Amino acid sequence: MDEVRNLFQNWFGQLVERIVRLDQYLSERKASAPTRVKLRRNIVSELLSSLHQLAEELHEKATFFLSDKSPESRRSLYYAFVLEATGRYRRLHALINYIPAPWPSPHLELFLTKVLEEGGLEGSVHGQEPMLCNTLLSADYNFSHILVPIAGASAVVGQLPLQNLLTVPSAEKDNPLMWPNLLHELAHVIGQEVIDAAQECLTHVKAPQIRSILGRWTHEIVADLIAADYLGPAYFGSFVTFCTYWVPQSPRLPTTSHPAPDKRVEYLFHYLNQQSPDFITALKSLYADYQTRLQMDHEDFKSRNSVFDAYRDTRAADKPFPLEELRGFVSEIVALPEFKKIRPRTMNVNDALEVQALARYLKEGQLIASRRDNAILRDYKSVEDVRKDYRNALSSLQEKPNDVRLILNAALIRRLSDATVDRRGKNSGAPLTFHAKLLDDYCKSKEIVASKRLMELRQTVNNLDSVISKSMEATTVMAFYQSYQQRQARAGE
Amino acid sequence: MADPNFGRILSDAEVVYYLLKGEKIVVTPLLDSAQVKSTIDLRLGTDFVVKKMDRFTHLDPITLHRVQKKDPEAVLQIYDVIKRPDPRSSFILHPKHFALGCTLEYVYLSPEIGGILEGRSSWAREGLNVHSTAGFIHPGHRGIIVFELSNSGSHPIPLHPGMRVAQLLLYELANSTELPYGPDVAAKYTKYVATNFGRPWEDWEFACLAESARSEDEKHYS
Repeated sequence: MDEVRNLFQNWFGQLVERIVRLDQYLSERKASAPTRVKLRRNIVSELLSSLHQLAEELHEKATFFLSDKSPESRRSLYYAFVLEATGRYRRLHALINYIPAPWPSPHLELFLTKVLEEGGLEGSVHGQEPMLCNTLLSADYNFSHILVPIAGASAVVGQLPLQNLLTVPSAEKDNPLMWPNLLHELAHVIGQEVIDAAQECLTHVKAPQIRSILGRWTHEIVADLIAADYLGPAYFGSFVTFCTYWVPQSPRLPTTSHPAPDKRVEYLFHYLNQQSPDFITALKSLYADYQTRLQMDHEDFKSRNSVFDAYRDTRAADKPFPLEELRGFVSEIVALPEFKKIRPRTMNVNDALEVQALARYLKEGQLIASRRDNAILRDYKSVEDVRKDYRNALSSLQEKPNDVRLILNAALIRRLSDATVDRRGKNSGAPLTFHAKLLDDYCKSKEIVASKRLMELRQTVNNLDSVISKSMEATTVMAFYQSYQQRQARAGE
Repeated sequence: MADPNFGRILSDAEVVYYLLKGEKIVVTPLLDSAQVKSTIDLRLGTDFVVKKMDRFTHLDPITLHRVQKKDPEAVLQIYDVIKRPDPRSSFILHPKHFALGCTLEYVYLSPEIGGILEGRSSWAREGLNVHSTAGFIHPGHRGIIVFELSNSGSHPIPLHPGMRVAQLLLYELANSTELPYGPDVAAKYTKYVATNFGRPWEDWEFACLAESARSEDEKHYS
């Protein structure tokens, strides 16, 4: 029962967090609308009111759930409720498409550029042969090619290049812990050669049905592997979060374009576990929630089918694809020379230790851009010691920036670890058991939708995000210095 | 009696010693040792806040105090707008214009260490001010430091994130402060990691002033 309780607690908490994010986004849009529009009831106001209604219902259920009165026999009802609430949130979020969206902040693009640079693909996005990736705010994480049709333009400018569009959910644009999903979308672009090569490997698969399905799924599998290689467990964390709490559909459902999420989680888990088992232990709680959801999904599979109409593709669901086939295919892809060409250094035990150290620093709003570890510095016992050896002491202050992927992983681990609460009982900086605390805060007041209450919740949510973003920004700016110093050193030689 | 060794401005060796220890002073990330002399050079961060100038005639703290009681965020969104230029590009500060910026560094000062923020002479000569009369950093401060940037020169200045624009002079108090800036006092600007809005109307005195203004209004109209 504890596992089920944890799942619901985190699920409710995730919903609260996402409602707070969407509320914040809508408030921003409302504030930036022309003054006359504000006087009328507009779509933003309507959306906000539907969102607050969902918040009220969630509040009611969560309060009852947290009050220990919920008997074990009712867990199916709770499961049905959170599924329905998750679906409703998704539909509300999708309505954002009717509102003009601003161009996303440059941070998303910088994040992608920086991660690729760190992995050795410098210039892939903004190099001499630009890949023309644009990021847009939309309803979901997605990737697509578009060819811009401009009548008569081709005669003047020739064939316009293929545009690669990445989309990110509007409400999640400032949530760094979910940015790894965006890297998966970008991997569709940088992994094109690998995808082509992998599809050629399929000729030895005898069953035509399996070959055809694998051919279509290759895009996703390759993108998963690239994202996992570049970001390690941070990608696994964001993907499992997405599968566990964000989608109302069963994780067992494959589609014609995507393998079933449960299979993807399994081969990613296996793949990362081979590389760096130390990381996986840190993700236990998240993985446990996922497993619990999978079990509950199995119990209710048939009954929910009729209730929520979420299983249109039941024919595919009836034919579970053998995991061994996928694992074998993954091993083949990893061995391809095309894959090795774009593969970064994979994370190892040393990285795991560094990530754990960084996660400790990420508290009370402390930045983690620096790599300085006091333990390895010479021990200066007094100011006199420093005076005697001033130049060395000064030079030992020099630091190098951390990789974005280390920061993201540290942030994820910090988020999954225990909450730190300051003397006033408020979450400070990087709290967590984030969801438990958030949900607890959420249920303390009856007037949940009062803006002051939402403002406080926003503050809690924003604190962690801004600490992570700020660390990444500091790292990016510091990287410019570092590359300059390296160039100077090379010139000196 | 207070120790005569305390209650003075810190020398370069002391600053380095405390930074290495990481207990009394934390400034991170520090990339170059050239940043640390008898003062610590601070770099510009990536967030800027500017006032919306096209919709409002003036800023009335008493009215805002009343509004913020109902919806604190609404007040901020009415007057201020956050600009987050690409860290590889710049934010142009025009002559006679004002903007809030922030340090790239996170700064922690223990309850016995205080700081004084000042501009660097190179930029001061171009007319760049980094604070307007609020240069004291209280003992116990943690978080980024907000710059009140203004250009009193004759040419626009492009502000690039990462450039050194200010310096922090550190001093040690004769005795540790009893109520450091932070959790134990009503500190408005603690633990921030991005440029935060100014909120003078949240000060306690405006509760009294707003009350008194209301009774004056009632007298006037009765």
